Amino acid sequence: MSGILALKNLSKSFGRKKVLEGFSLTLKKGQVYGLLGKNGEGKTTLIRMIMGVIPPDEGEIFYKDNKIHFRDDSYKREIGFIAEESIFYSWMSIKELLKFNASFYPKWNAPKANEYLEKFSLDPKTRIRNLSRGMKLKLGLIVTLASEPELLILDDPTSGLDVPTRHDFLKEIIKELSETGTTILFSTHIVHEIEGIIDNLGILKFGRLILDENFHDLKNSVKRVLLTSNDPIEDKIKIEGIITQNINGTQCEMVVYPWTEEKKKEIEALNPASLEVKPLNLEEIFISFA
Amino acid sequence: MVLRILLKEWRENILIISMAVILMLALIVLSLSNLKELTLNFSGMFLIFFLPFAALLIGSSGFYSEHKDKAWIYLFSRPIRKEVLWILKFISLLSILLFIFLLFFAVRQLLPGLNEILDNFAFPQEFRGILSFSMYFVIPLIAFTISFSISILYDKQFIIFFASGLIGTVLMVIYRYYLEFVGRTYYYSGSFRIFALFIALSFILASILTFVRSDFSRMGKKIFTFSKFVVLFLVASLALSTIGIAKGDLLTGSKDFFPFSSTKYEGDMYTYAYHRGRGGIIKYDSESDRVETLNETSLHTRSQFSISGEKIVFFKYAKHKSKGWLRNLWIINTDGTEEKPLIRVDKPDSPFYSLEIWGGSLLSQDAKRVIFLTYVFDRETRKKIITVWRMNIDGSEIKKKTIEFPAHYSDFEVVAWPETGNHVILMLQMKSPSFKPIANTVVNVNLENMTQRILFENVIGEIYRIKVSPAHDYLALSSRGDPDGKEKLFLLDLKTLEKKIVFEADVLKLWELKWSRDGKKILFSRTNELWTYFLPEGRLQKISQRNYRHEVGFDWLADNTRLVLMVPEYGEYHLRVLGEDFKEEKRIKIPYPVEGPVFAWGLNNRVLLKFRMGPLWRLDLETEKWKKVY
Repeated sequence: MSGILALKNLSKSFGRKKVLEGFSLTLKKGQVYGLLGKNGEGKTTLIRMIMGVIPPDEGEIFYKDNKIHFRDDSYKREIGFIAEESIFYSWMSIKELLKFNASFYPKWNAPKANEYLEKFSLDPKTRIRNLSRGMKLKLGLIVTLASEPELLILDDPTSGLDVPTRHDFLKEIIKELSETGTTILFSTHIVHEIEGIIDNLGILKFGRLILDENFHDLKNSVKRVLLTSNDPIEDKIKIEGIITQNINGTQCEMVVYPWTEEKKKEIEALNPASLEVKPLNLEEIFISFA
Repeated sequence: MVLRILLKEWRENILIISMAVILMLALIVLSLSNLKELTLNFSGMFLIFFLPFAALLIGSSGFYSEHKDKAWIYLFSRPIRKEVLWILKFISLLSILLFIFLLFFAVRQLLPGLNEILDNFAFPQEFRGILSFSMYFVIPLIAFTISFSISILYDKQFIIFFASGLIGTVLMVIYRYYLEFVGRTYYYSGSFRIFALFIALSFILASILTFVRSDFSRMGKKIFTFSKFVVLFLVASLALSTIGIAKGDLLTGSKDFFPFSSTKYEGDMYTYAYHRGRGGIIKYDSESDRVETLNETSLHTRSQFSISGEKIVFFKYAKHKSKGWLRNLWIINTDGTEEKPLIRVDKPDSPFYSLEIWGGSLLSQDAKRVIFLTYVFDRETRKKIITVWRMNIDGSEIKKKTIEFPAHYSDFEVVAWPETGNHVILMLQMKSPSFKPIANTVVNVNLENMTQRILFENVIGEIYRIKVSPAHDYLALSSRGDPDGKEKLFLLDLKTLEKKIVFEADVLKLWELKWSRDGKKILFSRTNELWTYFLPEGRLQKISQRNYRHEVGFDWLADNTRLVLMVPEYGEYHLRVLGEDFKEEKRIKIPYPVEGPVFAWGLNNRVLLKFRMGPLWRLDLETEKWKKVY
């Protein structure tokens, strides 16, 4: 299996709605994995299953090659989890929450928690109910960092945050963590924020992982192809690997994956008046696939 | 982690804890201000309403904060097993409830006046049988368990609160009528507590299984899973209760309790032994070596039957239109024939209608008359008015006289009705809040002028520790106190009311006492010693027995000379037969496990033995053969 986290054929339905179906993924140690998907595609469900919050209907989860069950708990000592909404006991003070958490984690690093409290200018006496969303995120991050996780799972944590806070969070903390070898699974629907951070990218659609590739390789293998013909184009171009295709008179714009020399030759065989091949940024890749 | 979770739950319930403390302060103020009626009502409100209310409130808060802040996602993603989490939360919240209980009982114990006032607190008549102790402790515990268990299902605390109250009440009422249907009586406080435990366990198991297995985010599925489990466990509980009621052992802790048994002298043989069983009065015939149930009834109070001549008087429960279950007095021949009611308190056309019979009942020596007590509490004078009734067993010549006793006496029993018939010996009992007897007084009541005279104060033990001689001319009991503070075993002459000290010690620890059937000797055990006292000579003799343990059974045999006793040796128990001068004649190994106290009855060369949790065994001393007779 090899990998810090491996998910095999996970499925989950809520009533008649299938949220995940046959989902498989392997995360290697030290990898920063970006999981993209539109709202409601099952990202949160997937992460809650990994964290043992909800049970999968089918499939298996492995952590460090050990199969984990819904009731298992010990693996969670090595996993940091920051949820979409920072969910804590609102009546607790920051100090109380940190003490409460310290009791769960054997490797709890109290000096680190204090260091980050200072860094984020959080007063330990403040009640959680009085914290802003950004401050709660920072608190969640402190809880996670102090537990010294080997795997960090982020469930769309930055949505709704202001730009400076998001910047602090992404550029400083996540990057720092990834540089120290912490494996990160970053689930989000805000695409551009993970560009430059992730090693691998996965795209979730209709409960299935439709893309799972090294981000660097992906960028080289997904191309936008702009084809111009002398005559109006009436039928769709039928070449394997076309993700999207827009025909507008004599012009056809396609996203092709994977882009190979063979595909280039196939398109050139159509005798276009002109052919332009461009790279896509992450947002464009996501839009094409999602 | 345990401490953190404990602190968290206490912190979340600080309001209810404060409320309990304030109520206790109010109770102290009321008690000290000597407003007795108000204090009584206030404490009643606390017991009936606040404790179950607090239990429901604390229980329903179980997972409220997890629902409210969606913190269950946070909590479930922590490295802690879900069942451990459930149990830790349960224990943490239970500790709050226990704190409130302890607070109440501590206040009660610390204020001597309050104890006396609260002893007069009466539970609603309809539920008196099963609620006596339960109201204090068991019902709030069930309420707490149910509400905590279902708090995993829904995020609205007030709905959990009311639903739990409703479920608890419905289950209690169902069980109340179920007992009536299955057991022919509601008077099963023991079984109620067991069933309460079953209810609690059913909800606990269903909740933990749902919590561990089910998807917490899906309310519908959660409720379905929980309901499935809880119904399954409750049905199993009901089935177990039914088996328990049928068998008796499970619910009462023993099939029968023997100290009330009596043997009947027939010519020169001891032929019969009678005892109360769950199904009625049981008669063992040593000639036919068989057990016979004389009547079909349920006898579950301390008030036993009384045998004299060829008659037995006993109680049967009957349902009164407004007062719930009351006791009627019945009579039956010792051969099981002519069973009929003597006193009907449930029939409107009966002159005894609505009377509450209290304490025991005794037949006269000639089996022609009967004596019994009824009871009324006068709230204005705060006195307990006991009416002593005497009548012939054919229902004629009814005589009644009343006598008042202070309110702090909570229980009354007829101990002896001497041959002259013009006075009766009663035992008055004071009980602690947990219904443990704390002081017993034995009084003589003159039935002509109803004057009372205290014979003994601080009598040790329950009514069954007082042993009346076979001829009803002496009474043996132990008492502590004045003038030297020592504990003493007394003999009371029932004709002259003269007392004689048989034995005294700093601590007597008298466990059992047996009269020889000729009334000339008593055999008693104390702190691993066995003694006999010869009445005519006034002589005391210690019977040396190696490894003797005082809680094992012994009795005289038919000839009034020999005796049997059980002794442990090298991990085994033996029954030893001692002959003249207490020399061992025989030793028989007991082939069955012996746990707890053993009661023994000597008959004509046969011995009946009852181990606390087991059946009734008959041992033939000649053939050394054992037989399970009941």
